[in-house]
Amino acid sequence: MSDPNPTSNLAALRHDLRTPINHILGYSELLAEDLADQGIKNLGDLEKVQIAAKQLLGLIDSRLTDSASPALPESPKPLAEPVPEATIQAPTPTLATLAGRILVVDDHPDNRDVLAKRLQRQGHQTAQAKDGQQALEMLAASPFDLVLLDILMPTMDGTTALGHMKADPALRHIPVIMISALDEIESVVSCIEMGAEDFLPKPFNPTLLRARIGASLEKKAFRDQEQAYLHQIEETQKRLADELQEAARYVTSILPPPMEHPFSIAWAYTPSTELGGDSFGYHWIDSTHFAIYLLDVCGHGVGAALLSVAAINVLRSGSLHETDFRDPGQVLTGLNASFQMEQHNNMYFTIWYGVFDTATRTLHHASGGHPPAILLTPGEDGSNTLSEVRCPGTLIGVMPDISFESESQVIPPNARLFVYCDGAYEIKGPDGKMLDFDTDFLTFLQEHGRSPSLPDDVLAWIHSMNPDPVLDDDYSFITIDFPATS
Amino acid sequence: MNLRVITSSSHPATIALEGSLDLHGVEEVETPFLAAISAHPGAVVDLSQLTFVASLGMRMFIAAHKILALTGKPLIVFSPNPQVRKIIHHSGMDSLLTIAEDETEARSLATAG
Repeated sequence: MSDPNPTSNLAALRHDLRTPINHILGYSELLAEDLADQGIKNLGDLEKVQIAAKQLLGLIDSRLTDSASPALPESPKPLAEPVPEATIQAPTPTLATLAGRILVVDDHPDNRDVLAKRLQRQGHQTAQAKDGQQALEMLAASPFDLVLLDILMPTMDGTTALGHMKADPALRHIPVIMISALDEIESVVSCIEMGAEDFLPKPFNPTLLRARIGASLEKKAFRDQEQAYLHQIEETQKRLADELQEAARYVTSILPPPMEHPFSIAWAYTPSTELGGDSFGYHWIDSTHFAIYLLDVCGHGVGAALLSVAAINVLRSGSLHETDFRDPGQVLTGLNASFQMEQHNNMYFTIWYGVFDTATRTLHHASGGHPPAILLTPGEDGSNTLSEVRCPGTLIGVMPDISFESESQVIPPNARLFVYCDGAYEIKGPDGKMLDFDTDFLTFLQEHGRSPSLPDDVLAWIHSMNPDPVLDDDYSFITIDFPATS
Repeated sequence: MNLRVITSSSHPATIALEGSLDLHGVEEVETPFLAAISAHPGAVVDLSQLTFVASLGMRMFIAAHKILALTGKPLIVFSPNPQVRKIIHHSGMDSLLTIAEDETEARSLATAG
């Protein structure tokens, strides 16, 4: 030995002397258990061998001691001897029934063999590695529930192998029990600090071995179960998020693209959550009648979005019984009859529905409890006048058997119509108070009403009031520019 | 969001809604409000301290209206501020609710009804 340190030389000597005696003890205990299984209680010479081996171990620890060494306990004899079985609590049935796949890592083949045989007797599957390097290769190749890791080994010692395991996300959850001689207690402490689960002193006490392995496997089983639940929750959350996104894509996909001719129509839509209760559309009913509609289901989220899509699809497909879709009053009466809130999860909606007749430049419109559309009319002096386009009518789905009326008005050339939901103005101002429809919202429209990007401008105005990127309510805003001439 | 039920020897009781009937306000107050409406079917509702009604708040009034309709009584509210009055007007709910200018008118409408 080239190590000039007398303490470590002494430790190495103790290790070398104890190793064969530990083998004798280990094998003799296994033999004793085999004999006991066969009903033979008189162990004869085997018992003498065991006693002699234990005495020899005691001698090694008491004589080969270095007073300067902090590693040796003051009274090594009781600790060096196997812990009396009576002082150890019997393993619980739970521990006894947990069998695992255990990797035994020790540079000495007989050490591995004794330990593996004992573990197999306890019902475990075992594999063996001769040093830390081989252990890491085997751990990378197949799954293990537990590693029994010797500290002193050539090539790669147990402490280094443990460091690699704990630094590897794929291996760090596998519990490691350090195998140590009693004078390696300092190394054991540092291994525990590095994340080792426990330690087992040599020579192995069968009951202690069973208890510590059982406890480690049980912890591993709980940890695996926890990981499995976590994985399951993550999968479910991901699936739900994917499905919500898919639904949100569908809700957005049924919104019509902006158009240029014969009207210029622009819009902005931002749901409060992934799924909103707003929806809108516009389409030609025939060659001279163009329908424009926006609806807002109370609340938002999945339930509101489902009702919103159901109602908007009725309008898009024109599928209301005996209804002239050129007559807004008839359409709302039909919707009200079809979407009574008692049959639709106690949800109602508001709607503004208008039909522009290009032949007469007349806008026919009706409202189901919806905020009024606003018409911006240019004056001769270049000023703009705002007026509400609203026909009285209550929420859709609230009262059965009611009729909705339409109103009509001629649209002047170059007029601009705004159709929107209440989320465009029911927002808190910087002082925390709700904005006022007349003094805040209409004033903004009066000042910015001609902006080509008005739907986005209103949204930016809302965000300037409240920096929270998630709106309290869905936001929908449509502008329709009517042409100068028919 | 607050709900106060003021019962006195003089019929009917007054139910006062104070604060904002937004999503959180409705969650807080809907059940006790509807319970109070059921327990005091002739009650009048003081909206003078109500600052806002979101769509789910409107649904709460619809539910109250439907509970009262079973006993043939109207839902009488009074003294909404201009903003709340505007929200009720836009929603067309003024055809379902009876809106009184003040408590005296509300009580007189309730006892006449």
